[in-house]
Amino acid sequence: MRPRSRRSCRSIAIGALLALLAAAAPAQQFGFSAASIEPSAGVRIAEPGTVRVPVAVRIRRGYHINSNRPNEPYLIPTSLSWDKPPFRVESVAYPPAEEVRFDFSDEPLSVYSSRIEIVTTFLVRSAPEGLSELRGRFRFQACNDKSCLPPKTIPVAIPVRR
Amino acid sequence: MQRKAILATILALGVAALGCSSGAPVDVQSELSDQPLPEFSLQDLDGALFTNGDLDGKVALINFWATWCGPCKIEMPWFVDFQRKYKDQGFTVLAISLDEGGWDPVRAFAEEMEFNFPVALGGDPVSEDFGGIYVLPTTLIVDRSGKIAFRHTGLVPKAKYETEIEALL
Repeated sequence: MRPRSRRSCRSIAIGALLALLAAAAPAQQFGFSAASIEPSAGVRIAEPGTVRVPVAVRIRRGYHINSNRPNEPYLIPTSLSWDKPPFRVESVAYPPAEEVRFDFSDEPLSVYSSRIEIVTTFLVRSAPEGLSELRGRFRFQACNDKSCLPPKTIPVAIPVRR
Repeated sequence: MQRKAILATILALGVAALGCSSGAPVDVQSELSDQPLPEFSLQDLDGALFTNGDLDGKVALINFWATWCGPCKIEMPWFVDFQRKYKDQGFTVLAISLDEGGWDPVRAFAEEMEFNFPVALGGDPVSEDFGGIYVLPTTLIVDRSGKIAFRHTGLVPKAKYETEIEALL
């Protein structure tokens, strides 16, 4: 009785491990994002006026993304857009880019790496009732010096406080 | 006691497996493969259909690329060179662009780089047919029997391609 129980326990252990590894493998291919939006504490919108909404983006070490104004026409610019913004968007300010020379480019490329913050200024005439968050989309395309990942769009959600 | 030890081992290996997996796709990888070439039918730069049948009996280098892929630009002159050097020995390059913007950027790029080989426009379906193309460049070397002999992800040295092509010719 005891040997059988030991065998079944071992089988369960091996099965669990294989399942875990199988689950981890596709994540390497499908779930990877070279950039992610940092969680936001939210923005306070209580009265009319201008409101600055920073969106912080973390870029994986070893990767870069194009700036919002890449200096080659074939490159895909980084962009932040807002879905049906409840307020007028006055400006979307991107940070200064780094000019980096890569083996594959004759001229330095205008890129972001590490961490960036994009600040949107909204003009609030009156705060709509029941607004709990601002939703947008962040689009980017990442490379390192040896390979590139396809363009990607990830959601942005900024909590709204009163 | 033994059960506890086994459970502890599962946990330790599980944590290690997840810890080792940063989730990042591999930048540069070369591997042997014995997968058959999938069936495909793509429009080429001249509007004609290019199918897997067009590679019958040939050694082929199939390159997945895009105009926004900087490292891909390094390889393109190599492929032009390979096409010139090996074409008469039953070799061809096929460049499959995964650009989402249609033919305009691809055509301009092909002209600028003076492509002397077939160029086709691909997308998600063809990417899936080839086992998933998640990183560019991805390059496959196909033998005369229609088998994918080598699969490369990322930028690999020109000499590596050359050695493999010459071994298959």
